[in-house]
Amino acid sequence: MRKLILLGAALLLLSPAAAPAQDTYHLPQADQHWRESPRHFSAGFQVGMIFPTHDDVTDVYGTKGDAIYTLHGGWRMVHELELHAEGAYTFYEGNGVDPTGGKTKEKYKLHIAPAEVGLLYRFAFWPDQIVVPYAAGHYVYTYWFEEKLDSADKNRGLISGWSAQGGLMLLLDDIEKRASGRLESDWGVNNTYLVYQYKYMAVDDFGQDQDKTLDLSAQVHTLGVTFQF
Amino acid sequence: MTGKTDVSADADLDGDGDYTIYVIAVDDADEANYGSASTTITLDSPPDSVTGVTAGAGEGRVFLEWTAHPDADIDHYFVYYATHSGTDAIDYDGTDADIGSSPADVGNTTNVILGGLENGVTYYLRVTAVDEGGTESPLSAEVSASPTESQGSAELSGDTEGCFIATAAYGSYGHERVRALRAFRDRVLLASDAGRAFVKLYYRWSPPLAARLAAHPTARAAVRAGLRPLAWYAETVLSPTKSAVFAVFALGFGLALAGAARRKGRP
Repeated sequence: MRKLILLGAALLLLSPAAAPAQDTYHLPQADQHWRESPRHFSAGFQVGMIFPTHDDVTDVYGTKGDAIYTLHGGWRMVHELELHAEGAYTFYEGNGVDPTGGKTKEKYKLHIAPAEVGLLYRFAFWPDQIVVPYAAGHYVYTYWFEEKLDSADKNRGLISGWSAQGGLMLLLDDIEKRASGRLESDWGVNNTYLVYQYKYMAVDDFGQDQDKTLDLSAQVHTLGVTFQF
Repeated sequence: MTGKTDVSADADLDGDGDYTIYVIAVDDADEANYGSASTTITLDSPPDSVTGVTAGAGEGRVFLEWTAHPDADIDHYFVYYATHSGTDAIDYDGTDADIGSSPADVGNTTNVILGGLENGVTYYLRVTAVDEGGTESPLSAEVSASPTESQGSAELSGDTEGCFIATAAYGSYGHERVRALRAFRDRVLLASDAGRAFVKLYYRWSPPLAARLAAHPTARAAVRAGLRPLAWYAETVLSPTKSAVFAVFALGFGLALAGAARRKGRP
């Protein structure tokens, strides 16, 4: 009798383990091919280096890279296609140029703050895919401000353009499962990725008025984190 | 030495400082009187020349730097400058720079900016160090630099806000009269609260006016004619020579007017 009672208790305790996992969420259509909590948005930040490519900037500030700081966010529209936006800030420092093309001792500082909006697609084909490549295309609207240090000379403007970027995302959830579980339960963060991104920016008012437009085209390499929630 | 009351001797002294000299009288019996006269002198050698002097050009100014003098008792430095090369201190007779006439006392520093200079003119410079005793070093090696117009990325590309109306009228940000008006803005208007308020108002309202002006050649010619006396005034205010000439003429004209008014008033 005792053995029967013990067997019954064991079956009772162990039976949930044999039951299939059940989602308690009503998954949107896009998420029903794998069973996870819904992912509607993404957000993150990146830090990296920006390398100007046009003479307008390289003649004064050189071609060596400068630090750039980026915040980004997106809204997942359908499958892995996202409406995406980014804001960034960087500045260059360098010496002025005289009419012969030589350098002067006057120091200049060029502040740049591009704002971008566009579409991003992540190539994620199965749940908890460890490495997720992605590609994006943006419209870019950049505010710039240049000042000559120790002087009242200042110039500023707004220039539009486009950017194309691609990157690789490394899923961190499997590396630190406890932390990722806590992020999901406390903050609703579904996935956390480590991200590397390369971007090419063509910021020259789409080629108009070449003689009167500052060309801020550049290549950007960044590393950062993206959260999906 | 016998029968002498003044002598000189060479001695390898160990640097600057106070030295006491004793004169001891010795008689025929070689007996010395050690309670003799003594005196103390202070040796203060001039510092060595300043080294590492370099000059770089800026817009209307020269950037001068040098290596800090190794002597611990350096009090200040002199900058000698002129628009011609020289060999002696008296050759350096510059007066244009905002640091003062040559030689200019620049304090205990290792770099200085000489502003208020003329673009395209070569300036020759030397530096000396002066110690706490007031002893000056020999002149450093001569360096030279020519102030020149300087451009940032915005000016290189032509994408500038600059002087909107003047640029639209003259067609170029780099035009001589536009540069004079910019210099007047920087060195005179922006130096006072009223001037800064005017500049702020100007930058608020001039871009749309300039855009309309750029499309009308007749209007541009009229604006150029109107700006000519303003540009002349800006150049005069910024140039000490022109200011002095203008002041003399203005004084003479004023005296002539006063004389004419007095003659008219006599019965």
